[in-house]
Amino acid sequence: MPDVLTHLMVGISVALLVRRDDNRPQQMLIILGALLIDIERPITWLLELTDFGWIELTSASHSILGAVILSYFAAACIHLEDTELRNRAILIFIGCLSHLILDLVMYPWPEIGLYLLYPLKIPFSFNLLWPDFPYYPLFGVVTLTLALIARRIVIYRTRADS
Amino acid sequence: MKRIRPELVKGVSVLVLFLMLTITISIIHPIPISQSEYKHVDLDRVSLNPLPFDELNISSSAIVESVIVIWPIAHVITMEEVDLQIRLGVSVPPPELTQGDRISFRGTVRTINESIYIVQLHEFYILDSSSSIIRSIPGIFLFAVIFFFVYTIDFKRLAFVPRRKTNA
Repeated sequence: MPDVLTHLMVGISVALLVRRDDNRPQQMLIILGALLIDIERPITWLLELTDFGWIELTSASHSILGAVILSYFAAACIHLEDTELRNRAILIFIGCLSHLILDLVMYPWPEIGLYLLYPLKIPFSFNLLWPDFPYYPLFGVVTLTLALIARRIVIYRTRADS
Repeated sequence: MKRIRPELVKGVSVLVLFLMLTITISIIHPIPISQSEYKHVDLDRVSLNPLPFDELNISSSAIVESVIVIWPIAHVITMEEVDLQIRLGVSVPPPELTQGDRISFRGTVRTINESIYIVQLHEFYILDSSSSIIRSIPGIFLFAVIFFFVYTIDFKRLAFVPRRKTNA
């Protein structure tokens, strides 16, 4: 899968575009969502070490259902005075979607790929790049640069209109 | 004794239910349903009885034991003592594989008799999870710095709370 740094940069890009009002705690929820899906990695490694590797935690978390559940759980762990649980979960879910879309770019073996509709085991993939593609961070930098430019244009236009 | 926030209780409950669902599905339906032309199989299963897999497109993983090149075929011998064959050509150089490399591959099983078979590789990929971990460390560190720049832990609420008031 793309590395954490790439997911982080794409998450920041999405946060800058979705929450243009510079509400840092809300932007941070989107960024959190962009990494949240991979929270299963250390748990999966532990499970593999203890002969419980058969539990399909990776498939489960890398799905729409997994994203919804993890978003809800993470939203419950965060307290924001001005943002309800539902809205916090939605912001985190937006970040999760960016993660899933980025993972879909990979060229996994589709027969064991991303089951977006888990528990239905139907693999999805754009089949573009290997999981260990070394230039993923460059992809993240380009996305972040484009997001900053787009944000600047939108802010400039909004100011010009008003 | 202070009550745990109802939100947190709900969040943990939903997560636990999801984990139970995942474990249940892993038990009752462990084999992926494949919609691609390649069937993902354990190479040990093929080794035990290769005949049912004859002419079948499979995907699997194996650990490389040695590579022998007899032009125009490169024989990748695996720890499972399976002969993975790659047809070489002008644009296909001998694979740069070394002993101990873990590869994922796709190919077609060709049985010669009940116990001898080869797998003609269509493509393969050297798994290198260590590089992914090393490249992820800066990302994890950077995320922790950004996150705790914005949030702090409120032990009374058992929650992450913003360090200062929002701008909105």
